[in-house]
Amino acid sequence: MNNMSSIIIFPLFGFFILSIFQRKISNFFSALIGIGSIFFSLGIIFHIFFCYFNNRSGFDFFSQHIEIWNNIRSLNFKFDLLMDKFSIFMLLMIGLVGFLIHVFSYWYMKSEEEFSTYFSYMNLFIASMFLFILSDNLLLMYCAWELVGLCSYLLIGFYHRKKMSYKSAMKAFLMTKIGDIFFCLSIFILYSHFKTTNLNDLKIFLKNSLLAKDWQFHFSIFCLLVAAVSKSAQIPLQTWLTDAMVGPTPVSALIHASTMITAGVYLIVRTNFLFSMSPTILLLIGIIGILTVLFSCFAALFQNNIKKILAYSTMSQIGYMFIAISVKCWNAAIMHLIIHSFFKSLLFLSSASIISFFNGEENILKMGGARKKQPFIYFCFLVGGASLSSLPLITSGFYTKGQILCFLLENKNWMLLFSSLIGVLLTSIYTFRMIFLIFHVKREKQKVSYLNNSFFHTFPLFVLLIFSTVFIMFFPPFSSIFFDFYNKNYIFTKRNFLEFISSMLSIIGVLIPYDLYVNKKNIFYKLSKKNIYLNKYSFNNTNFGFDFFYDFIFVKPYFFIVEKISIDPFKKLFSFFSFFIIFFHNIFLCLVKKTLSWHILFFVSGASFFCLSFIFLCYLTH
Amino acid sequence: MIPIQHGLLLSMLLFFSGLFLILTRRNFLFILIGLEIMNNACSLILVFASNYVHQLDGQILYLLIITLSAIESGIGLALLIQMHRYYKTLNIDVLSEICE
Amino acid sequence: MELTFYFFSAISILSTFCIIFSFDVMYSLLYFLISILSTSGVFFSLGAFFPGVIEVIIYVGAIMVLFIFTLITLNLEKDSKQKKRNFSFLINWKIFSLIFLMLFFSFLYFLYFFNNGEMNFMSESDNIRKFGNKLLSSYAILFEFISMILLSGIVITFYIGKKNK
Repeated sequence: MNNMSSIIIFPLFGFFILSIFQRKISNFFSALIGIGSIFFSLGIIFHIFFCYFNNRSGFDFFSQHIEIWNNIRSLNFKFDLLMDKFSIFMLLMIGLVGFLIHVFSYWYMKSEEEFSTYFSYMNLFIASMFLFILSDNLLLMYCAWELVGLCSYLLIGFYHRKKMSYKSAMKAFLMTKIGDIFFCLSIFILYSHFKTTNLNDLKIFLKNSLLAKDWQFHFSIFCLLVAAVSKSAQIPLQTWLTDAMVGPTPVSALIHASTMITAGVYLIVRTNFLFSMSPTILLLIGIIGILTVLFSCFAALFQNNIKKILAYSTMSQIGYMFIAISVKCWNAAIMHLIIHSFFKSLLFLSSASIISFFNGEENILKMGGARKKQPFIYFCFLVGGASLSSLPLITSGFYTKGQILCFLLENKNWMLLFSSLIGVLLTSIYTFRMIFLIFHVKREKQKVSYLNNSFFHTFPLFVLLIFSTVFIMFFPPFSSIFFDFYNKNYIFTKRNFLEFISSMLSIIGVLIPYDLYVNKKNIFYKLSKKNIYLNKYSFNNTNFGFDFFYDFIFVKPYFFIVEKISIDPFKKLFSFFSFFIIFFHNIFLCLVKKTLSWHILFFVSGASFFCLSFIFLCYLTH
Repeated sequence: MIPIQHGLLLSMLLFFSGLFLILTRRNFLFILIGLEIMNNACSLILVFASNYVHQLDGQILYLLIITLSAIESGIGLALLIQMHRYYKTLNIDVLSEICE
Repeated sequence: MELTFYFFSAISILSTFCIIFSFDVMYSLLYFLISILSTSGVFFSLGAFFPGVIEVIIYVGAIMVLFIFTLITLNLEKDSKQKKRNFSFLINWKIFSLIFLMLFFSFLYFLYFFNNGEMNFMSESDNIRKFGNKLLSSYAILFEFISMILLSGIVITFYIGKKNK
């Protein structure tokens, strides 16, 4: 367990090498460094994982002391790492998905100019994500949180020559910055209460304290929740995620589908002892989760951009995790998080192949008929979609989502359960609408470019394909996820009934878009054609008014205030000084701009001025 | 019995006429002549001063200054020849790189 | 003595003004010659014979000859004919003359303070021998220094005047 820090150090080292030798090393070599560093840390993670499960000697967590940050009187922040049950699964997931996406990026980005810059950003991201997961105090966590946000900003704006790209990068950065400020605020409040930010110390303090009625304490928990909501793109602060899809698609797969976006959920799970003390906040989490699930499902139904549909589906799946958190089943949330990251990165990677197959076309209404031309990608996308819409028995998403639904049933939380079931139906509808439109419907006049199936392309897709199915249970690290978390169920009959209902709903969700888009004899076919045209006029591109709302509430008053402040009296004072300086500047400029005789004249007059003043002084003193 | 004021006035007038010559002409040759006049005026003062204090040290310094002015005119004329060789003119403003 | 002093100084000032107002190089050199000769006359009138002789030898014998040689080699007649006969008060002659006159009158004002000195004819006959003794004994280092400066001046003039290939 002493080599926990090297997990972080390898990608960080790769980042430094790549950023120092930018463009001086060949593409292959920079990819080798970028992928190899992740591979080494993945190996260490596997090693630690087996150590962790082989010696269960009563300890549930391991910690490693590295460095004391600063030691000013009572301020004593330590740079420590802490690993427990949740963080080791998160580490495993991020290492694996990050490695596979790095391998895929070598295929996807090979024609880019700033190839090594891309890999250095990705390595920095992975390193800071590991740091975020392993850090044992909130302050270090906050630093890693900021680093992750920075990497996200850099990678969204990777195609910085496009105007849309840096605009959305700035938008994402600002929207997540709101959460960062709240995170900071909550750290301040917690520190003022407990004089520590260490998670273990906080846990011990909370057992003995009577803070349940202190409103400041509850406010700090609320601040943590806002931070998680902004990072995980839940409903009031979700607008940045769909715009963040302008970045490279592997980046969307890694950051905005599987790892960074789930950092909010992980933050809540990591500080679960805080959240479990406040039932109202938990209720708020549940409400946010439901609203996000329903909103994003409806939004995805009317969306035509393939990456934006996937972004909405990410939001809705994280909404499920929030619902699971609201009924205090942390295990189910983490389990769904891990499985979700596998099938979502599979979907994103295969969508990257589809987009490059259709020459950069992202509108699903203009795609179609790719099933026979690209059978492997079709199969990948189908399995990922099936896992997303939780088709029964064969997919891994079915079990994890079923787990969440079971917990809802156990807690008799009917509202959450009902809306989650609606979400299941809608999820399978929009997923299979997308699949049928891309692969089954035939269109004419398409420009396609056939992909060369290199190892770097197929290998990550193949591994993720296996992990998205039920076969994941037979792989040793992940089998323990299921057996650790899964066998706590005891109401089997009710559970089977619930699973039957949810699977029926998802199958219905498959059949409806099949009727609409594929079965031409159906009477709905004509309606569907109209539906296609209706989509053009949908109000979807403005994020259902959220953008307008934020613009009206925050941006316009800000500019209004800025405009008012800009005409202040002090400015005139300063402009007077600047006028003064410019005046003398113009006077002295005539000394510079003139010809030789002027230089001589001023030189002679200056020298004689000093001589004469000296003589004059001598005369005065005598 | 000449008051020293008059001698100094003479050298000052010579000095300022040399300065005026430098300032108002663009021809490099005239500038050199002006410099010689100014040197001459300065050396005048030394001789007057040695006469005033009845010591010969001022005349020795006069020797130094006249040597310097000879060297200066030699170097200046060499530069003038080079300038005429490259620019085919003696206008001093051609050389200026500060002003536009 | 006073008469010769004022006579030669008047001639030197007049000839120097003539340099200012003449636009032909050859004529201005001639006026310069007259000015230098009259200056040496001023030296003789004060009894400083050695500086007067040196003035004539070096200025007239060396520097003037150099100037005239360069004039001959450069063949400047075309240039001098094309020149307009006016001063180039470059940008703003008002500011120019203001500064110049200010300088002139401030110097003139300070001359006003030196009103108690007198210059006499140095009547000692062995002035030149004393001069030589002083130059080669207590000012020997200065003498060597002058020779070094002359040598370096020759080297620099050779270097600059060399024709670049």
